Amino acid sequence: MPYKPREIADKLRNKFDFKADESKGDDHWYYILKIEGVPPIRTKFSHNKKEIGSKLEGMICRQLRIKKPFLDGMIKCTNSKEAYYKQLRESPFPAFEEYLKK
Amino acid sequence: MTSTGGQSQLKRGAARFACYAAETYSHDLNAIVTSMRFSAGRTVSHVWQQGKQVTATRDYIKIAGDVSIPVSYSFNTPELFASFEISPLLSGEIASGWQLKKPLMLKVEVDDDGSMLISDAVFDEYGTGETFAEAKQDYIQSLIAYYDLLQTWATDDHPETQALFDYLRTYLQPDN
Repeated sequence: MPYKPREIADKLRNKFDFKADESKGDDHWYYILKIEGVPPIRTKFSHNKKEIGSKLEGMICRQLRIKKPFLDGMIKCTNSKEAYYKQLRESPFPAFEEYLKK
Repeated sequence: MTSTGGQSQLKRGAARFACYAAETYSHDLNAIVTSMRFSAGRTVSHVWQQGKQVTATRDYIKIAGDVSIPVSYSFNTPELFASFEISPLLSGEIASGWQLKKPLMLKVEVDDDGSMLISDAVFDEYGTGETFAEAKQDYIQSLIAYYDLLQTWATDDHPETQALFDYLRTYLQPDN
C-alpha cells in the first residue's frame, strides 16, 4: 500500500524528531533533522498528494539517506530513532558525498 | 539475413541517425545525452517507415497541453537496436534574482499517478507537478529554499552544513 504524505510526515516529526519548517512554501510541508556529525537531512511532502508514488517514495528515501525497507521499518515502528540515527552516522544510503566528510 | 558488409553499413546508418536525433533533441531542449546504446539481434515489433524498414519508439514527457518532448528514443531493425536518453539541463537565471553558475542535470520521471517528478543527483532536491513546467518550477523553489536553509545553519560549529552550503554556492547564487 502506498503511504500517504501525512503518514510519513507525522512519523518523522513525532518519532524521529524532525522539525517542521513552516516558513517554506504554501504547497508543501518541509521537515528537517539536524543531529551532530551529520549534514542536515531534509525532505518535503506535497499537500496535494493523496498517496506517494513509487518514484517519489524513492526520492524521499534518498533525501532521508535510507533504503525503502528501512523506511517501511520506520513507519511500522520496527526501526527506532536510535537505529535511524545510527544508520545516518554509519551507513547512510546513498553515502554522504566526499566533500562532506572532511 | 543481411550480409556482414550490409549489416555493417546498416549499423553505421543507425548510429548516424541516432547521433543526429540525439544532437537535435538535446540542442532544442537544452539537454544532454546521458546514454546511447547499440546492440544486435533485437526483434522488430513495429515498423516505422523512413526510407527503409526501421522501428522507432519514443517515451514522451508531457510539458503542457499537447506539447511533449522525447526524453528517450529507440529504434530497431531486425539486426540492430539503437537508443539514447536525454536529460534537460537547468542553467543561467532560474528565478528572479537567482543564477545557476554551473548547469544542473535534471532527471525527469513520470510517477505512478501520472504526475511529473524532476530531481537532480547532486543535491537530491526534487519537484513535482502535473506538467513538466509545474514540476520544474517546484524543483527550482525547493533548490532556493534549500539554499536559504543551509545559509541559516552554516556556522563554524556545524562544519558539515558549512561544507554543503559551500558546495551548493558553487552552483547556485543570488544576484547581488
